[in-house]
Amino acid sequence: MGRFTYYLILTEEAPAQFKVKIESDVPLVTLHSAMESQADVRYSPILPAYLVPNETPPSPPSTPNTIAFLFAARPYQALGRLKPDLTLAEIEATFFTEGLASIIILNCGLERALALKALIGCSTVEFWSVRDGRLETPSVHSDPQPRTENVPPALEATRDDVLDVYIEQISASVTTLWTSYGVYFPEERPTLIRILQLTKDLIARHIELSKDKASIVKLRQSNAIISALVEISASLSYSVTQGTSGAVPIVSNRSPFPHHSLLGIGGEIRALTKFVRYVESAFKRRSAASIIDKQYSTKNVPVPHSIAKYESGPEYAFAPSVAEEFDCGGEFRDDEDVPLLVQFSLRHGFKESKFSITAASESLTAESLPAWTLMTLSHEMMHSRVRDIFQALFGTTWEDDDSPSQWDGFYQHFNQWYRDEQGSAVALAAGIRNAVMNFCLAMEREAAVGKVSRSDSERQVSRAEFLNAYLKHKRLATEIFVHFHDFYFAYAAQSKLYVMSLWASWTTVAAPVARPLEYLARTLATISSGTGTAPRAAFEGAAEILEEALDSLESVGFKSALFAEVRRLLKEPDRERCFARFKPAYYLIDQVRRYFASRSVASAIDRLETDPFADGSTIATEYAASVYVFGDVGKVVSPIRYSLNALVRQLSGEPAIGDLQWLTAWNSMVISSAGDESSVDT
Amino acid sequence: MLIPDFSNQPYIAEVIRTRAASADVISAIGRLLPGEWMRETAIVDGTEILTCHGFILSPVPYHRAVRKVRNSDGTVVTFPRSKTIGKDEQYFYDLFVVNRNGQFVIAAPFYGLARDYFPKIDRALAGRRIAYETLNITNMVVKLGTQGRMAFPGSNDEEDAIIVTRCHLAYDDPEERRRDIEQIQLTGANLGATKIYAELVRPVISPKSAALTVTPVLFGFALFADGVKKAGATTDRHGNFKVSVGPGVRQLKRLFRMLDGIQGMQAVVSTTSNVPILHSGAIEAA
Repeated sequence: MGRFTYYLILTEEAPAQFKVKIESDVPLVTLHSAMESQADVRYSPILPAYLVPNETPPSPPSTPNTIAFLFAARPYQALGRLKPDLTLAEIEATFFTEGLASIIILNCGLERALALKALIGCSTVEFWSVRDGRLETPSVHSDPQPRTENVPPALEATRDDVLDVYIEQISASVTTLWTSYGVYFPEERPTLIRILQLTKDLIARHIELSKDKASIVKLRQSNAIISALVEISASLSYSVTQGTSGAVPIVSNRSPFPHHSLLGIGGEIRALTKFVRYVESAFKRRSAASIIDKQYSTKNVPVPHSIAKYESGPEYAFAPSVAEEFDCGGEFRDDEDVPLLVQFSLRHGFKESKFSITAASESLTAESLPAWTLMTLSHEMMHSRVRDIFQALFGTTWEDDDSPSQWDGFYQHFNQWYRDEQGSAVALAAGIRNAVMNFCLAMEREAAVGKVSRSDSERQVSRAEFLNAYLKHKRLATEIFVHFHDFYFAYAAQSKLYVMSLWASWTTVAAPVARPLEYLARTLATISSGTGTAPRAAFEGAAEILEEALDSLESVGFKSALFAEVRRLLKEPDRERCFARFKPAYYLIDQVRRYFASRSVASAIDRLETDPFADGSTIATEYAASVYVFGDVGKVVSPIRYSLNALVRQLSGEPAIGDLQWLTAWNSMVISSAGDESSVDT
Repeated sequence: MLIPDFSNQPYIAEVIRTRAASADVISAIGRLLPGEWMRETAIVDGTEILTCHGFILSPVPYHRAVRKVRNSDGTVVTFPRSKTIGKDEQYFYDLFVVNRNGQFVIAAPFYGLARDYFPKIDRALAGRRIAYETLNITNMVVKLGTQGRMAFPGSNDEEDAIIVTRCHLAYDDPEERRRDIEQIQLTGANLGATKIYAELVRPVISPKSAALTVTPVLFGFALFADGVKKAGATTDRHGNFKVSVGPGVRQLKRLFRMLDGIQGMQAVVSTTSNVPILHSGAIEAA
């Protein structure tokens, strides 16, 4: 399979004098010559849209006569709509991009470009005429924007110097985004409204705090608010620089991404945002925090407290026709959530925080490789969901999880529960919290599973030890919650695939290499969840799946010294050490499975009936995504399933196409085109 | 009478709609062939049907076995026919284009052949605003009900009926993520006459009362008139059809009548610009 990616290059030889050309490879030579001649160069990848299996598309002209840039908000559907009307020459001259100018057609007359614009209902076209390789004055053809009714009220200055800095920054960013989204991303305007509301709330809370008597608690809360404002401001600023560059006129809106400097990455940002909104929308159906606060705090259920004697059981298995606990009770919609702001980050890679989420910038070029798959975004989003769960279980205010009075209560309740040999029912919310604490304490006294019970004095835990164990092992407990959510919701509980995905990506990450035993135990516990089998049997079964998955990875060329280390850890004498780590994790993940699995949420992610590639199955290998198929009305591609399929193909050594850049841009283009129809909130 | 070389097996087909002139469409496809079309016009079910038959010449052996037929004059003909061009042996494979008004059925005898050539035909027809017909088989199952049968007015004041002959159902369990059951395939002359069909399609017809999500992925149906099967086809969710052709290509010509019957069901027929064979390979297993 050949390379399909081309590069549209604009060289500014003199002020406002541009030379246009198309190259078939990364323009390293052009970049170097530009350095020598002190010319400014901008470029972006362009990708042929209409491929035929087993054929390399014809090369575009190196200097086209015209270029029509169609700013289609849903390029996947637009390409499907355009296809029947395009002549063969036009089909071969049609490209898609990662920018806001999502579709470009070479050597197409202005009149024809405007007709195609009307056909796909796209609001803006920029048209370039190129004479002797030089760009003439571009023309922009935009539809008038409808008058906006719901302009949110502005933020007002507070006369607090610190707050006003952020008020100004946030206001400026929101204004820029409001205008840009009106044209290029109207669905995101409600996010801006929510962000403004949140900012107002934070400011009001900060002002209230400043009226109170100074204390270390108040200071901590004020600082937390400032920190939130900083994060919101920074994220909005990234949204401006990444999401709005590449708009019309293209030559005046240079992108800060040097390897996408001409057209920007607005389309990719749209894809990330759609991906995140899709998952958010599914989770909105059942608010974990509300269920914990209102349902799990009033329902009494016995929660096992002895990890040493823990045996799992059928109540933890996925049982036919038994409603999940999480789906029981009334409506617990989450309509108050603040959507996460989404960006690429060269520095942070994949990372999640309270108000934003970032994807690795490598995902712009090689998204289908395991290290940079958008599936990692789902993992980061699960962190956001789990943060809500922990917030509901352990505290109600920011940074309040070590508040002394609250921890006194937790400690007392835990002691009573732990010492209750009868295993009486407790409020489920408290029971789950105790299970988390039990796990943290087990990790603290990590030792090989012994045959002799600990003495009563050994089982005593002081309040300080209790809190320290939580602070020390909360991260791991969180990861176990996240693993379950990722495995169950995003990977549809496909054990081998999940293991392959994890370990293929972990080969390039420092932590699993530094702490392979921890990551091994986490993996084994995750794929054991829902089996309901005794720990030893679950461990043996999971270890077998893991080894088979590593073999499969190696068979298609994913090799790593880490795999050898994992195999070593699964042999005696380390195997028993691994089991000792596994058992508390298995105990915890069983509780997570039992109380946080949700058919309601899962079915909103899967979309079996409307996803054109699902064919009635959530099995990733049966998902029939095709790079030769375009968007149709009424069909809703699940971003999760689509990304997962791209990853599966890569992990199986059968990528849809050999050109990573093309495939990356294609996957993003498909995901970026999910429209209102994709709202799972129907 | 047109006698296809592979009349003993089903053909892969797609149904195209376009406003372009019939002659233009047929001529554009004909440019992919090494020879000329053989044309036959007939009145079927009261409408004029044009059938074009030609051969694709391919170095790829799409067939699994060679079939030999001894003619009445004692000569033996080998199918697929072949000829040597340069050093390579090239094979002749049937290609049919059957046209009624703005509707075209294109059929080729092997899945691999269809997979390679239907996209070429799509390219050859570029700019003619072609659309491929697809059937919403979930809605078809619902409309045909547990009896798997629907009658509609026939051509001679008599009732014709569409009945179910094949049904592949995919099972998924969004809650438990279990894989205990993945697919069930039923085949028969009249599946609606069996109890098991009614049981199996009930979750499709009433999804809310079912524990599993059941999705039809392949659906076969036949047109019956006066108790006689006139045409039959199996289709997937994306517009791929598997059809019997038979000597004389009668079944292919009657496909339009059957599609007319289906057209009468609401929310079943739609169109797409996607080449169906590039969307899914499920039809190969039908």
